[in-house]
Amino acid sequence: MHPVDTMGQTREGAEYGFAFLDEDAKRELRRSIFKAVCIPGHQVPYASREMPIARGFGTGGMQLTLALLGPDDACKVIDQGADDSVNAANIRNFFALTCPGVTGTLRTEEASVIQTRHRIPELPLRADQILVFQVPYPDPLVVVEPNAAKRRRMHGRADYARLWVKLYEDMVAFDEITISHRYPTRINGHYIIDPSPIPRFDVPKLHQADCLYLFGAGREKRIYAVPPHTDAVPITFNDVTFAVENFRDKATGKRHCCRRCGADDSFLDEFLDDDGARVFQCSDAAYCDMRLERLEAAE
Amino acid sequence: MKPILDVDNLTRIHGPGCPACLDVTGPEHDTNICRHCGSVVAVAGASFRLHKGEVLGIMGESGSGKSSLVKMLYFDDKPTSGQATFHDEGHAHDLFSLNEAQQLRLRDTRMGMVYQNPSLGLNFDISAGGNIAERLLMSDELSYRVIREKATALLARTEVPPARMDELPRNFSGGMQQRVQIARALSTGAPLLLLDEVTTGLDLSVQARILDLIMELQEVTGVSMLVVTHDLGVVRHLTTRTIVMKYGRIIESGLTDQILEDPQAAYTQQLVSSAL
Amino acid sequence: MAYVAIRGGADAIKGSSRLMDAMRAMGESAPLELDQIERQMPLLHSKVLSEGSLYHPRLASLALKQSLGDSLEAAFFLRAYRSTKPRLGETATHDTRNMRVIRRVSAAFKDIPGGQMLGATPDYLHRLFRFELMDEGAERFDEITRDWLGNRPENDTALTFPKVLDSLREEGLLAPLENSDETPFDITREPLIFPVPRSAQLATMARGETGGLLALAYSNMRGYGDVHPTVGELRVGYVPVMVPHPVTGKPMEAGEVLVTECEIVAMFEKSDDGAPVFTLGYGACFGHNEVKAIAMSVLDRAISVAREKGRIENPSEDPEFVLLHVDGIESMGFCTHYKMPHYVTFQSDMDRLRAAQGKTEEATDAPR
Repeated sequence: MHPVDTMGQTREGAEYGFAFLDEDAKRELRRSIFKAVCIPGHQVPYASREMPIARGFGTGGMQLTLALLGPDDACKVIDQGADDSVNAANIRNFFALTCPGVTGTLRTEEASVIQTRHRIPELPLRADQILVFQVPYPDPLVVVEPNAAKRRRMHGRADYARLWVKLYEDMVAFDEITISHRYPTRINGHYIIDPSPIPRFDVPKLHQADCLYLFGAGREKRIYAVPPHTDAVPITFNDVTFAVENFRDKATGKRHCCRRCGADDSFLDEFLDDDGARVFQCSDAAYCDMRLERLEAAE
Repeated sequence: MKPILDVDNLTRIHGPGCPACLDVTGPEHDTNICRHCGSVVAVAGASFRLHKGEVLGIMGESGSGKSSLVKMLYFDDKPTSGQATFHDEGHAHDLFSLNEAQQLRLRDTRMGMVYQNPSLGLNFDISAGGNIAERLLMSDELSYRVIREKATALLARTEVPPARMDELPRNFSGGMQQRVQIARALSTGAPLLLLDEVTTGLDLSVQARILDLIMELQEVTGVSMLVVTHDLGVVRHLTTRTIVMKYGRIIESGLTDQILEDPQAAYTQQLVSSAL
Repeated sequence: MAYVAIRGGADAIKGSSRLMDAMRAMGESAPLELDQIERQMPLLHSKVLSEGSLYHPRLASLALKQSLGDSLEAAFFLRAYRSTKPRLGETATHDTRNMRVIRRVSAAFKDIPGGQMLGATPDYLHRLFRFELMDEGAERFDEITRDWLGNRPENDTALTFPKVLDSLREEGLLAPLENSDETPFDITREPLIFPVPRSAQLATMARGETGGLLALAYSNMRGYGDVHPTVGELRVGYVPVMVPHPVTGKPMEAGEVLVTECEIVAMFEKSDDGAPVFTLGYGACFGHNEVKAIAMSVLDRAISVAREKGRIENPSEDPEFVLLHVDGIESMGFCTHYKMPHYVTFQSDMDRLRAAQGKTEEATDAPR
């Protein structure tokens, strides 16, 4: 049943159906997801619908999540690693409003579907979990070729020499590959994807994972996937190692730790505290909380 | 001598084409435009063989079809009809029945092209070294150190100062741009090189150095070359055998010395005498 | 102690939403009625209808009210609402010859069959303030209405008009209309994968943002292009919507929509059989929005020029450049998203910069 179009709307969202989108739209999304899983790394075009949040705020990820969610699911939404950032809170509110029955959770291990922007959780995900990425720029080739029709042919032929030339030029200029995030990553030996603006720190988590990774670009209307147990290799030269963010203190040479939970293996947010001192803290809030709980329990 | 390239009855017609196109164009009609359908017959029934290690000249005035011919062989354009076979590493590639990926693979690794206009053969937004690196990367060389060393050596061989290899070629002189193009074309050790008016527009002294360089490289590498030019000096300097084209047709072919000393076709006689 | 600035986001959003509402409510003014928006700001309302590309006048008014008058945001409300609705059917092609015209001009001919009809337009008004409007009452509205209706001729019935361009076609100056039975490209159900057919081009621009279309079309008019348009006919009016009857399948009128339509004639080119003919650019959108319709028709022509010539010489001729950048909802959204936190990516940027700086320092410190 589709909700009746009445004007007597009393509560925001009250007259919308389960998971907002009409059923045909969800069916189309699921078909595109299947195709994306079957051709790992291939950008599948789909008719991205307008969401009630703006393009660029995760409309691609939202459509995937809405197509996946059923009333038994537990859903977690993170932005910059945190559940409580404005955008994550906003999207979670929307799911709460439009997906009655779905449990909202802050715990990574409890969620069946996690929607994320810019991070992969620190806790390794299981086979029964799906991570949905919000993607601003789906095509890694856009930096070397502005024409979309040409890029499509280049992907088909796995013609990526020009991406490597970018790395070459970087090495010549800086003796370093300077790509900080959105690091081009080759999936299953053929397609190179833009893994969304995750830091390099998270790229190795894509490789041979247990879970399904889905990427949704709303504005650019593409869906792609890294299925479980699939190769995901950041592109580099044979003799230049792919380096992740190291958080090493320049003076002491030691890695910074989270000032809250003491983790020395997580991606850290760096900021100035109220006294102007430089401090570091886990970017993954759920991971940090989990460690704190365990530390407290151990005491 | 073994063949490297066999071109058989290659034809390129721009426009709708009609059954009369080939009959009403050509040197005897003094035009390459079909009076029935307005199509331009750029190349008509061109056939020739290039041997391994040979340098073959293709000579003619502008509009004779010589550039159209090499463009098709480098997959920049598609023929209307005809065939070309590229003999390489024990394979005979029927060039125009390959799919696009196969064609580009050959083009990127087994053939080299030097265009008259360097902006066609080079990416002006990446460094000279990067231009060489691109070709090496296309042929699956993935070691930064090796790429860097090879690019340095190739540019040194074509007399591009090592100090300039990290600069953008758009800032180079015309002669230097051509030398980078030649280095790029040679980078993968391709057995076939296509040169399209490579010295046109350069100063005479620069022209001479480029021609000497091409000669030297040919002697060292033994690469086979098709040299397209309207310049008799280039033909004399580089080639052993020459084809003369007019209005899309091959009207004369033979040893270069013979053609220059004793041209048979009236048109060739004119060409040769006008240069003297 | 605060965790990081972003913590507590949920509360902040709630507060922000309440403040937005308070901004409307605080002060002395009475609540805006939806009718007031539709009646007294019809041109703004039109913009929202066409850019939202959902013909729902009442919801368009609500959207404007709820978005505090931001036309981009208001159009966005309509678009998002549309995502929740299934598509129940398709109408046949509508012929704008059946339009109940309220305004119609041609810049090509002084006399056109049926005559020109200036209608309501600010084109020839002086942009001088009428300060008396700062304070007008309901009586004044009654007076204006009585005055206008009282002076209208008795038999002023709604009219339909033939198309101006039909006469050019009859004379052979314009290529005959191709009656295409092809199903038009549905941009709400398929993403644009280039090259796209002209129907996708027109549909994309029909819901494009007025300012975006105008800027690109203006670049063509000013010299980054070569269209040189003449407005063959610009018409505004109500087009009856014919929907197939669910049982008999016969088309029946389900209502009417306000549409602005523009056909420009551009300089001639050789046709397929060799004779030169004028070329056409087409623009149309929901509501009354003449600038949008004209800009769209210029861009339609510009893109077609490039397609015919096989080469793109100006940005406004590039279908990718035009069609991927004129949508207000997409461009506004993406522009807005830069305000969101980018802490992680910026952290990553700092890491790379520090590494690169480190290498440079090593190189300069190294003994020679």
